[in-house]
Amino acid sequence: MSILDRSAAYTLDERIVPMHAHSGRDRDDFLCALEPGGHRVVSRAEANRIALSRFGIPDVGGGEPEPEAAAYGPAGVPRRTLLRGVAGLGLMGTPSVAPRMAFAAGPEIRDVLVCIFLRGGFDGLSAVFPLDDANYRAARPTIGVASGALPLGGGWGAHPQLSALQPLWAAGELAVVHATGNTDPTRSHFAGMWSTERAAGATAVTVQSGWLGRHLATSSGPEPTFRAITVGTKAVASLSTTFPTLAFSSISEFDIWAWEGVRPHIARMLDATYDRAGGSAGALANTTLDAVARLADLRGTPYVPANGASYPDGPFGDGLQDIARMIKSGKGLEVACLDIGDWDMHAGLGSSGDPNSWFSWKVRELAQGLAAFRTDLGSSWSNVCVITMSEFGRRVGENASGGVDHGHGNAIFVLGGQVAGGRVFGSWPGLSPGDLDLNEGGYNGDVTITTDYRTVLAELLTDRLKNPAVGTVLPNFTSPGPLGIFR
Amino acid sequence: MHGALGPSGEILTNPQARALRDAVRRPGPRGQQPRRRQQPADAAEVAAAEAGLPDPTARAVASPFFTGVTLTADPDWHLARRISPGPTAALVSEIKAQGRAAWLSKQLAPASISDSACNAVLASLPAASMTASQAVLSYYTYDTGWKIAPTVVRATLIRRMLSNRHLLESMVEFWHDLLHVTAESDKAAYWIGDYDTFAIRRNALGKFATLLYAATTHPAMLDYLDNSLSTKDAPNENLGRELLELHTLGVGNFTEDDVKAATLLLTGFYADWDTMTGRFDPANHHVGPVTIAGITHANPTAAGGPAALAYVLGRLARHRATATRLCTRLAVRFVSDTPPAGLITRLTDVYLANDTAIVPVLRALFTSPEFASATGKKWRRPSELLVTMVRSGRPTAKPINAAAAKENPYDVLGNDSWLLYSAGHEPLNWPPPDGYPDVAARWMHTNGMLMAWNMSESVVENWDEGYTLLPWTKALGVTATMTPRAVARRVVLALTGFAGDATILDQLTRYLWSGDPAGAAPPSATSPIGADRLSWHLDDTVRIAMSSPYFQVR
Repeated sequence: MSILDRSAAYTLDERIVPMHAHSGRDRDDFLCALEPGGHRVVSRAEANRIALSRFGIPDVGGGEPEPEAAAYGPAGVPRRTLLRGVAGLGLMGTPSVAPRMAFAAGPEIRDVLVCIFLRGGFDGLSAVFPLDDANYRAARPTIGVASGALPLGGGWGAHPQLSALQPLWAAGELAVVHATGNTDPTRSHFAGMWSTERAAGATAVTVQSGWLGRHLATSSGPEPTFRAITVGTKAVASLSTTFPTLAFSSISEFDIWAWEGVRPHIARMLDATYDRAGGSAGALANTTLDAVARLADLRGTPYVPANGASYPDGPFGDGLQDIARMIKSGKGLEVACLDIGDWDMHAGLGSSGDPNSWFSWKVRELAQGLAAFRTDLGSSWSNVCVITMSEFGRRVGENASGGVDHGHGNAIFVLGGQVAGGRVFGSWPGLSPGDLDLNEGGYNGDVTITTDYRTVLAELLTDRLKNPAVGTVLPNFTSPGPLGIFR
Repeated sequence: MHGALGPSGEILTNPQARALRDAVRRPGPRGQQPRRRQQPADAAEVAAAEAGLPDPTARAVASPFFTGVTLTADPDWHLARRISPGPTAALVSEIKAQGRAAWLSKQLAPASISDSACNAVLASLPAASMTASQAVLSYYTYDTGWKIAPTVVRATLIRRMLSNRHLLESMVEFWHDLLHVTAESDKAAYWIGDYDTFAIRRNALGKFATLLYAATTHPAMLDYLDNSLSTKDAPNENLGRELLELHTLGVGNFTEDDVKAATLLLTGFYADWDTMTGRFDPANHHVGPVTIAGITHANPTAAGGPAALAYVLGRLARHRATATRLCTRLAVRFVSDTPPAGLITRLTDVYLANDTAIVPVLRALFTSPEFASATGKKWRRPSELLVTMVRSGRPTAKPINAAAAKENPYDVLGNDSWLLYSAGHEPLNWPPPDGYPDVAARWMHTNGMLMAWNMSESVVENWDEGYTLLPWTKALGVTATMTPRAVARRVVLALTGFAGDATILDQLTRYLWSGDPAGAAPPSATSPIGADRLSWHLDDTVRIAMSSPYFQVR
C-alpha cells in the first residue's frame, strides 16, 4: 500500500520532463510528450493534470493524499536535478523537480535483490550432490567429492570449500534449489546467457529486454538513480530495458577527474551539452552525472566492513563490498547485479580434496564472499535476498580431461533474511543413465530439469519483490506454484 | 573458454602478473595541476589544421543517439572515422588531398604505406612479433614467457596510436574479435604474439579461407579452446563448437551432431610446448567420415587429418551462412548496428564471387550508398575514444627501454592501458571467446560514459609517459588573435569533424573568455582571445570537446 501525492503526479510520468533552465527563464515549464508523437511545453500545473489523467486519477484540485491503487507506476527515470549541485558539482540551475517517486514507504517492505551470475556454466553437481549415490561415484570417478563433504541433511552433501556458508545453512538463511535451470536446449554460453537473462522463453525472440529490466519497468522505487546497479564495466543483460541503469566498477573510483577548481565547470558543460543533444546519449549522460553527484558522500568516506567481515581478494569480493555499502547507505538500491566468472571447466576441474584445485578455489571465493556479505550487512540482511544463476549446468559424467562439458540442470542458491532455507528444494530426478536428459550414452547427459528456474524467479518476484506483474516480467511462463523458499 | 568473466574484466590469475600490473602508474593526479603555457600556433600549423576541417557546405544529418542535435555529413571525415582506429583532422587532410578512392586503395594495400615511425617504436618490443618458439625459448623462458601477452596488448595499442596503416589495424581488430583468443589468459599468454603476427596480421587483408585455417590450427587457439586435450577416444568439444558458432556458420546454422563431427575432425591438432609450435599427432586423430552442415569428407586415414581439416575449413569458409555472417559483422563494424539487408546480400555475393578475398568486400562496402548515408550511426568503443584523443594531439613516441619493457611490459603505455582496462576494452583481452561486442547497446553504460569523460582529462594533460603531445594550440591551429567563439568552433570542428551546436559553442566561448561556462561572454564579437586565456582555458575546452556527444560517434 502506497500513497500518491497528487500534486506531484507529474514527477512520476517519464513522458514529462523539465525544460532545462540554465537561464532561469523557463524554470517552471515542462516538455510534455503527447500521443501520438508530438511535444508541447506546458506549465507545471498543466503537466500535473496531464499526468493525473494518464494515471486515471481524478484531479480534485487539492493536496489531499488518497490511497493509490496501483503501487506500481512507471519506471523511475532520473531527471535533471538540483541534487547534483547539492552534492558538489555546482548549481545546475533549476529548482528541484525532485526525481524521487512520490510514494511514501508503505508497510510492505521489499527485499533488495542481489543477482549473482556465475559466468561460464557453474557445475552445480560439484557444489551440492547426493551422498552415497553409486551413479554419482560412477559418473565422476576422479572429480566427484569422495570425502569431506559437508552434510546438508536429506541425503545431500556440499563441497568442502563451501564451508563458509555452513552457518547460513544452519540458520536457515540459505536454500538450494536443485535440478533447476533454463530449459532452452542451447549448449552455447552466449545464447544460454542471453536466453537465461531474457527469461522470456526460448522462442520469444522478440523480447529484447532482461527480466530485471522488466521488473524495474513494472515497479516503482523511492529513488530512481540507484534503483538498479551492475557492479562491473557494463550493465548486465538481465537489466536491459528502455532506460539506462547504473554500472560502475567501484564506488570509490566513480568520479569526474578534474582539477578541483574547474570540476564544477566541467560538470556543468557536460550537463549542458548532453542535455542539448538529448536522445539515448543525453539520458545516459544524465544518469551518469546524477550518480556521480549522489555517490559523493560514499566516495569521500573510507569503508570498513562491519562485524569483522572479511571479503576475499578480487573483483567479486570488492563488488559485494560495494553492494553492501550501497545497501547500508539507504540510497534506494533495489537490484544489484554482479558477475563471477571462470566456471567453464572443460578440463582440470580438480579434486575436492585439493583446496587449490580450480573448482575448489573458485567455489571458496563464492562462499567466502557471500558469507562476508551477510556478516557485513548485519541487521540489514533481514531484507536482502541473494540469488545465484548460471547459463547452464554441466554434464553429469566427467570427460577424459578431468572436466565436465556443457549440460543443463543445475543448482541455484537463494540466500537472505527471509529465506526458509536449510533444505534442498526441487524434485530430484536421479543420476542413473536412464534419468539423464539428452543422454549420449553412459553418464554423458545432463541433470534433468524438474524445476524451471523461472519458478524460483516468480516466487522471488511475488514474495520478496512484491511485484504483481509476474506475467510481464516472465512472459510465456506460468508458474506451477511456489516452492516455499521464503518464510 | 577460460579466464574469469569478472565484473571489471579481470582475467589475471597469475599473482606475479597482478603485482606487476598494480605497480604501474595509474591515472590519478587529480589535485592541482600546473597549466601549461600554450604557445599559439604558427602559420604553418594553422594551415595544416585548416586543411582537415570538414566541408562547410556539407549537409546535416540526424543520428540515432541524439534528438537535439544534427551531425555534419562530410564524406571524408565519415570515411576516416570508420576506417581509422583514431581519425583526426590531419588524417582527413590526407584523404582530401588524395581523394577518397585513391586513399582507400592505398589503405587496402598496406605494404605500400611507409610506417617507419611506428616500426621504430615496436622494435623495442620484439617479443610481440616473434614466433612463439623464439619468444619463449630464446627471448624469454618458460617462467617468464607469459609476459609476451601484455607486450602484445601494448604493441597493439601503439600501432593503433601511431601506424599509418589505418585500415589494416582496424581489420586486425576485427579479426581478433571474430577469431578471439584472450591474450592474458593462462592458456594463450605464451602464444598470442605468434597468433597476432602469423595468423591474424599476415592474413588480415587476404582470403578468409586462409585465415581460418591458420587460426584454427594455431597453438594459441588449440590451447585456448582445449583442442590440445581432445583425442579420438576423449574428444573435447570446446573448439569444435566455437568453430561453428563463433568462427564460421553462426547460431542456428548447425546442429549438435555437427559439433560432434567438427570435434572429431579436429582431434590430433595440439600445441606442442617442447617446440612451442602447433603440431598434429595422427595417433590421436579420429578416422572416418565426417559431415558438418552438409559438408562431408571421408577422412580415411589418420595421416590425412590435416588435409581433411583443410578441406572442411575451406568449405566452411565458402559456406553461404559463413559469408553472410562475416559480411554482417563487417557491416556492423563499418556501417551501422542494424545494417540494411540489401547491403549484406551484395557483400555476401562479392565475398563468394572472390573466393573469400576480403579486399573486394571492403571496397564494395566503403563505396556503397549504405555506407555513404551512415554518418553518426556508430557509437565509439573506449579504444576508439582514447586512440582518437591521443592521435589528435599529434603524439611523438618516447623511446622505449627494451630491457625494462622486457622485464615489466605493463609499464609501456601504463597509464593508457590501465584506462582501457578500466573501461573494459583493453586490446585483445575480452575474457570469453566471442570477442568484444561492437554495437552501441553493449557500450552505452554509465561506467563507459564516465570513462570517456575521464580519458579526455588524462590525454589533454598528457598523463601517459609513452608519448609527448603537441600543445593544443599547435595541434588544432589555434592563435591568440582568433575570437573565443572562433576558437570554440575550431576545437569542436578539428576534433570531431562536426560543426557543433549553439549550446556547446556558447558554453565553450564563455568558458574560454571568463573561465566559467555561466560567466560573461566576450564584450564584442571581434574581441581576440589573447595568449593568456588560451593558456588558462584551452586545455579544458579541448577536454569538453573530447567529452562531448559529438566525439562519441564513430
